[in-house]
Amino acid sequence: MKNDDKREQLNRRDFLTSATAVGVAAASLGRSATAADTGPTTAKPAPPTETELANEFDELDNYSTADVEDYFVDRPGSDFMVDVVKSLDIDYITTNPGSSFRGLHESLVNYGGNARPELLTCPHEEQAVAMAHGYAKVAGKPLAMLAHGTVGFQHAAMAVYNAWCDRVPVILLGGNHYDATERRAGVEWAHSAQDAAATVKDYVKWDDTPHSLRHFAESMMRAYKIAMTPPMGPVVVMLDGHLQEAATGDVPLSIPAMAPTIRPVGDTGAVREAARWLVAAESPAIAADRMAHDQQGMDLLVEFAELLQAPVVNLRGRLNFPNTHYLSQGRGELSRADVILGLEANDPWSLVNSVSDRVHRKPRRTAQADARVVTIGVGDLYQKSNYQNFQRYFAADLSIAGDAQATLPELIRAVKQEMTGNRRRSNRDREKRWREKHAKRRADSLDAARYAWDASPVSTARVYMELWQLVRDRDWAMVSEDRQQSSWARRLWPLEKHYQYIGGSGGAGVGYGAPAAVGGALAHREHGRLPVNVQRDGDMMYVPGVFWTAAHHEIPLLTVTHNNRGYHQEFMHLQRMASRRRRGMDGSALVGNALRDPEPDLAKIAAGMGCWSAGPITDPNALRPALNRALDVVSNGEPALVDVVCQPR
Amino acid sequence: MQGRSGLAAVAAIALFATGLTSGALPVFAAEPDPEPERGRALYLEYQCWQCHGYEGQGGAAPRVASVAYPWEAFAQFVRFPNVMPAYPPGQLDDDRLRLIYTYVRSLPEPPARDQIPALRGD
Repeated sequence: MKNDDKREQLNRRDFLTSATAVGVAAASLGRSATAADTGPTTAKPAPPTETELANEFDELDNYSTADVEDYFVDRPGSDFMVDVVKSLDIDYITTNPGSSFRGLHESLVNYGGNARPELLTCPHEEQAVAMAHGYAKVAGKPLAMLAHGTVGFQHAAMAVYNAWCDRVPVILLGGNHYDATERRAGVEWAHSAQDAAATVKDYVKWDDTPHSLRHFAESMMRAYKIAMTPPMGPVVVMLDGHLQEAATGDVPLSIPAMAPTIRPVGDTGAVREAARWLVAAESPAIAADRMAHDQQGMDLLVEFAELLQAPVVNLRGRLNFPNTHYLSQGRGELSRADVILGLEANDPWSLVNSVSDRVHRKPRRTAQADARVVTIGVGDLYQKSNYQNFQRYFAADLSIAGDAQATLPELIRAVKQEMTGNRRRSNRDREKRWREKHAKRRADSLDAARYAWDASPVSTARVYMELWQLVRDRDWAMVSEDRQQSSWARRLWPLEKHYQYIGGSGGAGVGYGAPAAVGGALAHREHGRLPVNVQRDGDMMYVPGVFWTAAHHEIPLLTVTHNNRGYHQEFMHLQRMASRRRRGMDGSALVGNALRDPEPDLAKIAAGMGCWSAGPITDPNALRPALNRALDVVSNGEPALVDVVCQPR
Repeated sequence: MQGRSGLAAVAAIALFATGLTSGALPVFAAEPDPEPERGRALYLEYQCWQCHGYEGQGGAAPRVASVAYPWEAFAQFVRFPNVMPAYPPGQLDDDRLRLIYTYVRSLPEPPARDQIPALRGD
C-alpha cells in the first residue's frame, strides 16, 4: 500500500480527537457515522482493532506498525556483536566486503563508529589475513579479518595456512546464511555452506558457529583466548546472517569476561636436568626458532646464553637474539656442539640431520654422533595431522613441553644453581673465542658485500647497505624477510630489538610478503617507527592491491623491491631437474618461472594503487637519490616504493 | 663425512698442487682466453648466474669471483658437485667449461672496503 493511499485512510489520533457526540466510534464497529446520528452521547469510544492498529501511522514518517516491523530493526544483533568485539582490544578488522556479513559491517561503521575496531578495506581476502599475520607479530595481539565464509575463506586460505604454520593469532570472522528458508535466491545460496569453516579447518586451532547472540559472546571470548594461547594460531567464528540482522529481542545480553591463559612452563625436574647437561657440556649450543614473543624473551635469552657462554643460532622464526651480540653465531656451531638446546624449534630433526636433494634422498647426521638434544617448546601440546608442517619426527634426548620464553626464568635459575667455579673459569676462554669468531663473521660479511657493488642489475648487498645509510639514525624496523637476499640484514644490520625483524611466512606461501609488510607497518605506525620492506617481485604480483590499502589508510611503509625478474627459487629447482635428466640446462629454467617479455613495471603498479613510486632502477648510483625521495614520502606518513632491478640473490 | 664430490675436489686440488694432472680431467691450456666475453656468454647461457650471481659474487651458491680455484678443482666441482646440480660433459663440454672458467678467473677484484663508505663497518 502506498504512503499516499495511507494518508487518506483514517488516522488514529484524528480518529480519537474527532470522536464527537455523533458517535464516530461507530465506525470501528463497522458502521459509518451519519448525520442522523446527532446529539451528545455518554458512550466511550471502543479501542481500535488489530487491523486499525496495523494501519496506524507514525506521526512523523507515516509508517504503520506493520511497515515498521517490515522495514526497520532498532537493535540488530550485529550491534551487540560490535559490543563484544570492542571488549576484546581488537583495533582493526581487515575486510573485503560481502553481503553475508553486511549486518556486522554496518554496525561496525554506524553503531561502532568505525573505531577500535576500524575497518581496513582490502581488495583480496588473502591480503586481509596476511596483513593480520604481519600485524600480530609486531603488536603482540591479533587483528580480526571479516569475509564471506565461503568464497572469502577460499581466497584467504593460503594466508590462513601461513599464519597457522607461523603460529600467529588471527581472528577470522566468516559470514554465512544457515537457515535455508531465509536465503534469497542466487548469491546467498552460493555463499552459504553447512560447515563454512571446513575450508580452513585443517589449519586453524578452533572454529565455532554461534546459534545465538549469547553464544556469540562466549565464542568470541574463547576464540581470542585460544588464538593467544601458545602455540598460537588462527581461529574462526562464523556469523549467521540472520543472527546479525534480526533484532536482539528480549533475551538479556551480557559480555563475559576474557580470561587469558597463563603460558605453560616446563616441568621443574626436567628443566633442572637440562640445566645439568648444559652446564656440564664442553660445547653447548642454543638454537632458537619461534621463541621470543617480545623484547623480554630476547633479554632472557641473552642472560641465559651469557651464563653458559653458549652460541645462539637464530633460526628464522622470530628475532630471538641480537645479532650484534658476540654469542650470535652461525648454524655450523650446531655440528660442533655436544649438547644442543632447541627453543621452540619447529624442526628439531634438522638441528642434527640433513637430507640431500638428490635422486635418492639419504639423511645424514650433521651433529656429533654423541651430541645430546634438549627441546623446550609447545609444539607437542597442539598439532593437527593433515598438513605436514610439523616436520620430521625426532626423538630428543630430553623433550620438555612448555612455552620456551616462559620456561627460561626457571632454566636460568637452574643453571645458576648448577654452575661451578671451574665452569665459570672456562667460560672466560669461551667468551674470548666467541668474540673473535663473531668479529670475523662480520668482517667476512662486509668483505663479501664488496662484490658486484657497482654491478647492474644492482647487488642485494648494495640495496641493503644503501638503505642502511638512510635508516640507521631512525627508529626503523624490517617488516620483511631477507633470506632470499643473501640474508644481508641479518649479516650486516644491527638487529637488536624484537620488533626490528619479524621473520617469514611460516608456510612458505608466496604472496605473504607485501601484505604482511603492510600489516607490520600498521602496527609500527602508532610508535612512529620507520618500517622497511624489501619486496620480492614475484611475491608482489599476488596481491598488489595491498599497496592501495596502504595508500588509502595512510600506512607509512618504505618498500624497495628485490626485482630479479621472476620466481627465482623455481629457476634453480628447474635447473636441478634439467641437470638430473641431463637436458635443457642451457635455458629451460626460465620457462614458466620468468616475469619477462614484458617485465612487469612494479613502480607503475604501485603508482596505480596510489602509492608514490620510482623506478625501475638499474644503475646502483641512482639508488640513493631515489631512496631519499622515498624516505621523505614515508616520513610524511605515506607508503613509497622504489623498484630496483637486482641480482638474483 | 663428505661424499664423493667433496673428496674428489680436494683430491683434484692436491693433484694440482703437486704439479700432476689427472688423466680423467681436461688439461687447462697455459694461455688464458683473450676473449673472456665468450665465457661470460656461456656463464649466462648455462644459468650459472642464477646461483652464483651475474658477477660471480655468490648468492644462493658460493662466490666464484676472485677465488683461485685451479682448473682441475673447478672442473671437478662442476662435474661432481656436492650441492649444486651436476653439469655432465654431454650437457657442457670441456671446451665450453674452460671458457666459463676463464671468464670467472678474469672477474676483477672489487674495490677495497675502505673505498666504499657504506661498508666501512661503522
